Amino acid sequence: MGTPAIRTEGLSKRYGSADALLGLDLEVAQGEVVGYLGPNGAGKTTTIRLLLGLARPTAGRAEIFGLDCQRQTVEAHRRLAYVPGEASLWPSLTGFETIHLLGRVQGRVDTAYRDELIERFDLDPAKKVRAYSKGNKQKILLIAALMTRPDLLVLDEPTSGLDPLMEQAFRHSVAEARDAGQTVFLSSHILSEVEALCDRVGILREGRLVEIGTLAEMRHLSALTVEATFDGMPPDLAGVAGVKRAVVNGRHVHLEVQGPIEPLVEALARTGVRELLSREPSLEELFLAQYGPDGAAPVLTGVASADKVRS
Amino acid sequence: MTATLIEQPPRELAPAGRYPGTVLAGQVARRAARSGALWGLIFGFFIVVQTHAYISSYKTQAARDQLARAYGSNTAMNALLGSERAVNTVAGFASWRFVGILSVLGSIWGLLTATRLIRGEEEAGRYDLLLAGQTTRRRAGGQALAGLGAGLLALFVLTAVGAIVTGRSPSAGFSLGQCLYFSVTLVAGAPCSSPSARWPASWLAHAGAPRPWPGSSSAWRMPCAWWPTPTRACTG
Repeated sequence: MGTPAIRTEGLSKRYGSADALLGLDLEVAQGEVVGYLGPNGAGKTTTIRLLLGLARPTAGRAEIFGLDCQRQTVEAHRRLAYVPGEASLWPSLTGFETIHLLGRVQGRVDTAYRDELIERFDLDPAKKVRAYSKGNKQKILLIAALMTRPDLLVLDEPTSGLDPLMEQAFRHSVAEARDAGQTVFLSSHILSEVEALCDRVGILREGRLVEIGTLAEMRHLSALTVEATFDGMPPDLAGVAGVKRAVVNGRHVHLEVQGPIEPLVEALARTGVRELLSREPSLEELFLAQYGPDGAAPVLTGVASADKVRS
Repeated sequence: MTATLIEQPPRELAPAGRYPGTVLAGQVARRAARSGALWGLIFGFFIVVQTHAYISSYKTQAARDQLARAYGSNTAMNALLGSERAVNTVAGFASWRFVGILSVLGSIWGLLTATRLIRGEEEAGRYDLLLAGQTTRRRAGGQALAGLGAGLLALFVLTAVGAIVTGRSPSAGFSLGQCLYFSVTLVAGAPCSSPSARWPASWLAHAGAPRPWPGSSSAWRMPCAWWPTPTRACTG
């Protein structure tokens, strides 16, 4: 494994008396697509600002491709492109002028790919920025970042304002970037997007990285959801080994099982179970589990994957 | 995980612009120069028109002496524009009138332009896009100041053109050096009142021997407080 694309050691940032980020230890390998999740104020944007050298850490250090984000900012910036969540652009410039300007900021552009991206994102670059909708402004930022084919894409909620079609175009572009060996650091609230794109997911809670790993790893550590429907009144399954939670709703029982499922299966076999559905937790459930009361998973009775959770 | 390890990007990318590290300076300079040029035109026009109005309205020395006496006893005008000094000469009138008004306008322009182009852009979040390029916060600060300098230069050049056009009139008879110095004093308030220039201005003011000239209301607007006022330079 070569130099990590991103490495942070004990990275912390304090604003006054508030800790925005606390001792972040993170390593992102080259070519990886990493999702970075957390509600508002969890420290996602602070992390990105520290990685970009736009803010000075209170403690710890951050590196991009082995380059110190504070001391070797220019060299680090040469290898990355950044898409902020707030699409704030120069209203008097046209879309193309803005793309050109942002290309000059990066210093290099794949012009053929730029034209392809303009077409893919269905952008009319001749219009003034002031005439664009929020989604169109976001497209400009995405095109400007992707067209420079950087080694690292730092995306801070990049699809806010994009319609579902454009979200597909975005996913296609990120997949292309991954196939080309580029690293993607994706901070997002859209869990389905992270689930679809990311190799690994990190979850921030109050400035601390509480969970990081592949979805498979995170699912393994989390509870399995079992939905059972009985012919008659359901038996008491709360005492069965492995059952963390049982919620009875008429003849229907929602169970969360940690560890081996055999004791539950044996218990169910002895009862008149009519329907049995077992599934792994979705990213949304994993995410919400981190944010339930005292970190405990809230009762979930929804479908396997809800599309969006925006906080 | 699908990872294709790369140390250096093997792609063919066209260079976009010659100096990626100076984009911010160019952005600020373009907008500051546009604004500076507009106000420079106004300043220059004001100098030409007002000076010619003085020359044509007060053709004789007696008329000018009468004007000087009238202004000398006008407390309100003195409070507003500073104590009159040699208003009975074209140069004295020009420096008293224009330094009193234009340097205040220049200061306001400097304050508003610097705030809009630096703090306003930062507040709008647009600077983050430029700071994510090949620059650092410190370099970006320097570039922003350089960009504002371009605006100041535009303001100075067009103000100087107005002063030189006026000075070429036989009735005025200002030398080129006087016109340039006069123009410097008119626009010098701008960098002093722009928040971004506070530090260098105060540093310069404390590096020398500050000696504010008490007789002029414009003394506090000079770039270094201890600069001599233009009235002395123009009227000898």
